[in-house]
Amino acid sequence: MYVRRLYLRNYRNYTEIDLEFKKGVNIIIGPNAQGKTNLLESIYFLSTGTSHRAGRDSELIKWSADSFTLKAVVFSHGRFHEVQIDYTGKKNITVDGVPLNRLSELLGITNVVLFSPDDLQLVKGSPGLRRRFMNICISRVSPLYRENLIEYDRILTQRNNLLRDDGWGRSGLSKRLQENLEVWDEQLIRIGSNMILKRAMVLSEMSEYAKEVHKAITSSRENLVISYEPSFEIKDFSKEGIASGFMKRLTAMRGVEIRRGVTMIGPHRDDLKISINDVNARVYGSQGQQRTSVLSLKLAELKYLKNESGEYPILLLDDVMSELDESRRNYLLNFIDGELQTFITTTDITGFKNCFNGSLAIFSFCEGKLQMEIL
Amino acid sequence: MFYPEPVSKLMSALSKLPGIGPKTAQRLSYYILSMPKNEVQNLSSAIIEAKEKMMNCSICGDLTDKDPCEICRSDLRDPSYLCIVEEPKDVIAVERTREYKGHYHVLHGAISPMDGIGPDDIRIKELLMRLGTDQDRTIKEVILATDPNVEGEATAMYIARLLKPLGVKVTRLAHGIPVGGDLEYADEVTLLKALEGRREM
Repeated sequence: MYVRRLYLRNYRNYTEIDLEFKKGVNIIIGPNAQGKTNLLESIYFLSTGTSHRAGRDSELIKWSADSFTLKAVVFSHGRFHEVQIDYTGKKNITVDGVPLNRLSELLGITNVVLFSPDDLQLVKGSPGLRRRFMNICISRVSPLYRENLIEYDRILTQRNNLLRDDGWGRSGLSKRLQENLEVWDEQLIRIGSNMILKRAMVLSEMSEYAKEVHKAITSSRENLVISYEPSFEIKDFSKEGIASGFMKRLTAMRGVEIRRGVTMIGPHRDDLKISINDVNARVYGSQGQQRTSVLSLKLAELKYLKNESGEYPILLLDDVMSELDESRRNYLLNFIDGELQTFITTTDITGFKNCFNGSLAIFSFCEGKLQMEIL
Repeated sequence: MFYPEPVSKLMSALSKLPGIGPKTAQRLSYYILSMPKNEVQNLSSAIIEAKEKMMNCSICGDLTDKDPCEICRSDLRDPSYLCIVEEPKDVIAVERTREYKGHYHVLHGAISPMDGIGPDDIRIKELLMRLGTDQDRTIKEVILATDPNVEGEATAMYIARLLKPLGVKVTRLAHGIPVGGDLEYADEVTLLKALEGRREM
């Protein structure tokens, strides 16, 4: 799939811009603080419905404006689609003119893989970032997972409210509270086990790809393994195995959960573990190893999305070339072939001029306005 | 711009209704003001009359103008089936099938801790009393027809657990694809649930 046209109005620093892109490699070049990342962010937003860096959608509105519009013409599954997002205090999303009922329906229409310097946090940062990575990636290809995610969130909110409710008394487990919790436990375990099984399956597939990529980058010196790390013991990774482990631990945690007023285990507390040569990369990896792991993980995500949907997603590389050494940079540049639409932001064109057989489009800023360079 | 006080009062009263935002409230208010006076009187007395005459049936909890309600009083209904629904409007939905001839029990809500609604806040106690006074076991099957969402599911589960020791048969409404439509137009979630609940042929 690829983005043919992109239109932004009152988005970040753009008042109005309408660009046409190449199917292959598009390089956006310019000094700092011109809006290179904002452009990639807008493509990410059109794909995901959220920003990868803004906390609130209202931050995306240009100063002095009160709404923004994003529009893209995307080629996917054999034809062109028009995706439009209007934000006026709330998001209105349409695909080919038809409004979406839910934000989650947007996922899967345009798939992107974004790789930016902030992604180092995927290895170093909190588990929440890694869960978000899994959730978005799997949601792009699995409507059932998307639905499970929404349902699970709802069950969790209900269950936490029940645990927090002071009416039961903090002192101990009353029979009434037990009865009330059980009906939520059942749903929590059923939906939660589905999610865990799906995540574990997807990760084991992605781990194979990531291992290959990582081997190639490090000349077979490093063995990268990505695995699922559940918040309770699972003896066998089947639907029943997960459910019984979940149930056992939930029962054991009953007292603690009531004291703390929060659900302590489940897919919302799980993590993914990245290890290099059997050592946890988050704790013991060097900065360079961590960065390479993220690159491997992102390229594995790309392969996974390609396998599941039959089409390459769009690759967004935000100022990452400067952070990689020569061998890693070369690997990444060789990875990008004609089928894969890629957007690269950079402050310096020198490394790219001779790549991709010269088949690329260059966009640069002229008096603050982004436009295609005539080569 | 300010509305004259009687108009703004009418608008704020109307905007308390579900599905009525400020714009619709304004439109309705101005429409009401353009209506002949006797029609407005009919409307307002119809609202008062409906409110004064309607009550909850003391047996099933459905809305009725006579207590017990028509369904509970009828000899033509089959007392061996009891269908549990969340709201009175769900009774109408099941009645539209014209096939279900059993009785109803309206819960007036579903269990939802985030809204502070527990089992004691909906008509579960009344349900247990109904089954408890059923000494000669006329009720053979309880059909749980709560909404197919997280809260409806929890409510159904709660009731199913309570009723199990009583030895009465408890069933749950199936999830499925709408009949009469094309399979390709069913949304993916509905289709997935239907796939999960498939049956052997």
